[in-house]
Amino acid sequence: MTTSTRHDGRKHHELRPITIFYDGLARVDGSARFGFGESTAALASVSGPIEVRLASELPSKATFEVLVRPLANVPATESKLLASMIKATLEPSLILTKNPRTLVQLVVQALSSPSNATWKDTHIAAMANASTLAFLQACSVPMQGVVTAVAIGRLVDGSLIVDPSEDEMSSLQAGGCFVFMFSGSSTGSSVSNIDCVWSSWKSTSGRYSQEELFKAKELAKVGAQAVYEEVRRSLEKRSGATAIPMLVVQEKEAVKEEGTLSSDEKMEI
Amino acid sequence: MGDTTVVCGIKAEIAEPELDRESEGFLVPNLDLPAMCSPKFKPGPPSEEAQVLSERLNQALVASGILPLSSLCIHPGKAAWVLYVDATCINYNGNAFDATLLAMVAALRNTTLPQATYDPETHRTICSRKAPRVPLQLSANFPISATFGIFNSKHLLADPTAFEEPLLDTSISVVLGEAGKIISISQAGSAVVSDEDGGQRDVLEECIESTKQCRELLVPQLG
Repeated sequence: MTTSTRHDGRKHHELRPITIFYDGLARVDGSARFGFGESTAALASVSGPIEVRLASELPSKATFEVLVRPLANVPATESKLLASMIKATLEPSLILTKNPRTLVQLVVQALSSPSNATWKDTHIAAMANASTLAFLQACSVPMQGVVTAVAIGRLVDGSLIVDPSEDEMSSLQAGGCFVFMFSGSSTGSSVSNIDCVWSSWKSTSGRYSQEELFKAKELAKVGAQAVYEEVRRSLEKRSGATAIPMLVVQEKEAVKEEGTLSSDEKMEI
Repeated sequence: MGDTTVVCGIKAEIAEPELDRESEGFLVPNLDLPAMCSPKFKPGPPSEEAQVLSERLNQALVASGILPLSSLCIHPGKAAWVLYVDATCINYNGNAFDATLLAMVAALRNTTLPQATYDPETHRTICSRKAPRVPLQLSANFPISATFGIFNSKHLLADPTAFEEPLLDTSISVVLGEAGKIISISQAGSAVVSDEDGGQRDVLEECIESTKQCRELLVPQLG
């Protein structure tokens, strides 16, 4: 890892300071705010399992609906795409088969708007992280892991940076967002299973090689781990105990403990 | 592609460029998934799938820089071409993204525009009927995509059909430009496949390799 610093004095693999708030919106089951630094933030809320419209009822699992609301303007095709992205990032972490014929609704409100139309990856990452936190706070939907997201960018000189800030975005040549799922039995701070569940990459200069992609993925893994630790700390602070290891139920265990799961789900953090 | 058929047409209009991008035109891709093409779709406003696909197509075309928007400028700040790249699916059997991107690239390649001039005195743009139409100034870096799916975390399937699509845990789309350069990759779900002997491997590299081969096969056919 290079030691040279960036505009704001961060190292290449350093994230902006992460802010996490559990706002506790009154009328939803869980809500949380997540921000990278000052300028990139999102608020997410989870309701569910609730009653589902007949048209979207699924016989074998819960319907998972994601709505994304931009900071300004009415939701358009762009928010539809964001919604489908966030849905895809979170779906692997949720065990939706536990509550068939219900609806799990996630609403993500952007609290910042990207200054650059091409690179929205940090915003996607903030939205995905806020959604995860909202699910963790709600505790109403069984989960098999915790997903965290981080954005990676490549500067003109070819170096890769984690979590590009707004003013770095204008000088990016390539970039993307990576989402990792942390699952498995976690003892202390080590997690047994880290898997990239979602990624999107693009390059505007067209000079993006395969090796670089894998390097970026490795870097993203480090970044996502940092976010995961932060999420973990925030939950521990809230509960005063270690809540997360209990929440991270492996699917097999979840099936085995079917009878006891309802009490687990309702567990207070 | 198989039973998926997409028709793409390009419509050109003249409009005033945006204030902050005076010397750029517009490229507006859109995909329509009418009720006619599959029982999955209902008549009415565009479905979520159509909107998501349109936005992804837009991003692929923009990221590849296939058509420099500055080449659509007629007169900076006054007039520029708007190209509506409209695609309609007439038979939907999965993987509409790859088929549509191919149709759009092919359509852009045989689009010609009339020569237009802006008259600053009358504030009007005049297209000449006599002057020969000119093809678009496309770059060679046109995007070709290939989509893969992983079923049951065991089997890697290329070009999933409508029957396979809902059953996939993971879908990976690779968009490549010229000489195998990666324009974009999107992966939803885990890219790890477990072999029969219990080993696990990441298939992303394999996907990129097969997309490269796919592109080599497709490019000569675009003509």
